[in-house]
Amino acid sequence: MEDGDGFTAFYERHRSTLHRAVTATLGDPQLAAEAADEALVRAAERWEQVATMARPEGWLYRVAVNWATSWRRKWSRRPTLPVEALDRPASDHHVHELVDEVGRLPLLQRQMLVLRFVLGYSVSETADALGVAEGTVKSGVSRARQQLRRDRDDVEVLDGRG
Amino acid sequence: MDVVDRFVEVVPDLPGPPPGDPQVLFRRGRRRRRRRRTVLASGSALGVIAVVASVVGLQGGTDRTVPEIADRPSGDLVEQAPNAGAVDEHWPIELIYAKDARELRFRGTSWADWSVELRVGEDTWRLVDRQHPGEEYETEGAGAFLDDGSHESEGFVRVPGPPLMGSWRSGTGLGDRTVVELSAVPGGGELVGAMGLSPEDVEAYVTPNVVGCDGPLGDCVPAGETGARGIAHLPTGFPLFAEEAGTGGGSYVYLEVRSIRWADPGVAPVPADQIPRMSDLAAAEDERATEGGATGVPGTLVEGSFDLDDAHLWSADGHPSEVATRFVREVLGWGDAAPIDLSGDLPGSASVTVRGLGMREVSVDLVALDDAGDRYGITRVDDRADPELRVAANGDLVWRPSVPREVAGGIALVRTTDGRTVRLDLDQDTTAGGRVSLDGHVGSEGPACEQVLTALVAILDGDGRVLDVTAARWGEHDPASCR
Repeated sequence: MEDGDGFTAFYERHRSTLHRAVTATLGDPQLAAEAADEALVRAAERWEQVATMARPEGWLYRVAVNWATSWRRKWSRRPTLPVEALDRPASDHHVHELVDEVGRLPLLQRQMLVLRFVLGYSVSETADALGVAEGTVKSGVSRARQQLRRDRDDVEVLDGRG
Repeated sequence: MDVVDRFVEVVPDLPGPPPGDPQVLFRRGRRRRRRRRTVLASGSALGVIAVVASVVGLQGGTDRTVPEIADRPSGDLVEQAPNAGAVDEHWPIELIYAKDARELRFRGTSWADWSVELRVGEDTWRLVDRQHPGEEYETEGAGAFLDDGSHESEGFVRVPGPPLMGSWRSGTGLGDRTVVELSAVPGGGELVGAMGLSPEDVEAYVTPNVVGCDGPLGDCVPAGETGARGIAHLPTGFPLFAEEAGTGGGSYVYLEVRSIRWADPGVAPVPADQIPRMSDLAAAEDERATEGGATGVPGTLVEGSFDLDDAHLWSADGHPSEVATRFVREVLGWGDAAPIDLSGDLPGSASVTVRGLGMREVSVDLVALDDAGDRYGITRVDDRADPELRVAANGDLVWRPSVPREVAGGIALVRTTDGRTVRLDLDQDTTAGGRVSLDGHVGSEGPACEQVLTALVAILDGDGRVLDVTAARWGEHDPASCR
């Protein structure tokens, strides 16, 4: 059934949050915008199923992150270019210091943090969205916190604040 | 408050997405859905429905009245189309066929070297059938070209030069046939004309039991019998159209050509001894998959200079490179439309490297040289890898130049399906890439199923010299939604 009106409401409800969640995960607002739109196109493609989801945010988020990371992976596999000038540096997207810090965590841990605390998913819902066990979510979040704390301590020591 | 808590507080303050139009995304999703269904329907009853629909389209209407029998009996024409399988000469060609609800792409340079691919995505083709010179033949499901796909045959050896002509004629019920005028095949003249051919370029056949009838095939067939019609390309014997029907029923279209592209005659393909073997290609792909990043692309075969006016590019396996030829030709086409934009900046020659892993991945570098022969710009066009220029899900034209530089701006040339070339001046800083909305610039004229855009962005320095050029094709070619 075509339901453009329903999709518009869905789009307006989720797009900004989805975009910020992906930006927080990947640190690249431009890529996040494309990924969010790609996820929404896929939602339209499967609208009958997506429209009935109780909480589609996790599905959208996972689709968007998967698309964006796949795009990046393929981009990084591009063959070495024959002209020196083509050794382009990685894109430098600085969004926020804290996003940079979280961005140094493994992708799975970043996704756990975003789903769990930005999108407000429970441990169980986070596990379902990522296709991992609940215990993996708990340990992953714990390790992420520890790593972030260590990184922050290191910075403070280097800054002479420790 | 730990880092995570502060991180969570920051997220709502991150930049929001650019404005967008939900209906654009919704329509795009629905088009993808229709296309996916079309692919899934192949080989099923739905496929047959689609085929019948395509016949109706070819005949230009749904009139099911009993046709009048033409008073001109046929059979006095002499069959001319050669048995193409016996013709061992180079004829670089690409044909796109509709078969059932699928699209097939036939590409080759000779009967010893050809491939058939099945469209599985917007710009994605899967190799399903291939003849490699003197090689053991492998397939992921044989018969895509001529058969109904009901049988599987894998890993068998095929000698070079299978006789196509006899195969397709017998396979489509035209073993016993009569040569007729093209007008005896309803819609045949339009189809041939759409391919840029004239009636003199083709040969039409019908089974003897429908000679003299030029109506819908099912209405022409005597009770209890089947009949068939076909059109072949005279110089090569390629089938352009073939259908079969029983009495009073809808016809089954085996093949209907959608497009033909011919390389210019007289161009020698890559010598056979330079063509990589399948085993080499497989090993190279394994290596790439294992290492996750190659420092060079195996299978580099062609590297040299060519004149833009005489550009003939070949992929690593000896097939004409669709990307390369398309790109160069479209650049030339655009050059005709706006010579200052490209032709005026590019010199008269360019170095081209064609790399590829068989038919699966092809990338082309177009290096622009200045008068001293130094490289100053480069274009990379990838067939399967992510393009540097693409149309995002919301319809925006998005590019990421491969050479980040301080630039003054850029131009985007977008060619629409109706042949218009639209120039967009990009006055923003293009160093890190950017986007421009095609809406309002290019428009969306015509049915959605035909919205295929080709686009090119040239990044310019302050003097108007081309620093970087990138090209992409965006397709919404969706035959199913046209019906």
